[in-house]
Amino acid sequence: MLGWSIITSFIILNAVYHKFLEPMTINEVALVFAASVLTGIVLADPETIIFAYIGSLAITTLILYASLTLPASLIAITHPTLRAALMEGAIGIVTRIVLIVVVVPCLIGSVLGGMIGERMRIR
Amino acid sequence: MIVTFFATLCIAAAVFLAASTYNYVEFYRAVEKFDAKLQNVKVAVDENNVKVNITFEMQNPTNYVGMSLREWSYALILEIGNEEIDLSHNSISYYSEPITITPQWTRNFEYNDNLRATQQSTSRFLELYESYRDKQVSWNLKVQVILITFMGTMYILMSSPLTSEL
Repeated sequence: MLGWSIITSFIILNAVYHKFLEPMTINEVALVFAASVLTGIVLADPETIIFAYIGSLAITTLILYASLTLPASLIAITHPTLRAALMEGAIGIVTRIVLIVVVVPCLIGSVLGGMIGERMRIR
Repeated sequence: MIVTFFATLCIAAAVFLAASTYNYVEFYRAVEKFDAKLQNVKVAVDENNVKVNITFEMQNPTNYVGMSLREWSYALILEIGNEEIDLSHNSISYYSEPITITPQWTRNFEYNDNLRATQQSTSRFLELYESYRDKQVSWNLKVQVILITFMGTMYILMSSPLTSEL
């Protein structure tokens, strides 16, 4: 669950750190989907997958928000535009990304991965 | 085997996530600490012409990677009493090839400006020059830089005072 969240957060944050205000591309969504398929294969059990999915969603949101607002906790930012971009931008980005990039691709990917994982175990 | 691959991927992602988050935090420090320092101003008056030589330094004292300098402009202000004379200004663009700002980046700039007495600020300077010659005066260099960052284009205004002999 934690591993899944770390991989998803890494893919998303790596994109955000390079283009803060631009939307995610299809490549990033595909990478999140691929990571979810891989997690599904590893877990290979529908109940565990659903439980891990809910937990991963919460942890990913937490990692994203904590990472994006980290400068505000570590540095005294005096630049007003920068501070506003950091605080308001972080909430907007996390909400938008979690809803668009995480919720659906992670669910479909992990369920698909779970099905593949079950088949691989049967064989 | 797939579990080992997944575990390795998790560790690699955690390491890269920590490294890129550190760089992200450094970005805010870089914007806060980006600085321009006026080092020297030399003025030579030759009849009705004024030659100004300015040396200053721009620096990024942080370890941030991912920023470049697209344009900068300066205005050299001479402060005498309650009066401010905008003596010299210039603007340099690097639109085609922005300067990459590396960690702990420092760059020295030196500019010469020839001012003619026909300009209002120069003629005012020449009026005051004799009375303030060889005396300590205050300069103020106002610098505006345009940086290309992952947040888009950012404008930073800086000001660097200096007291020197005229």
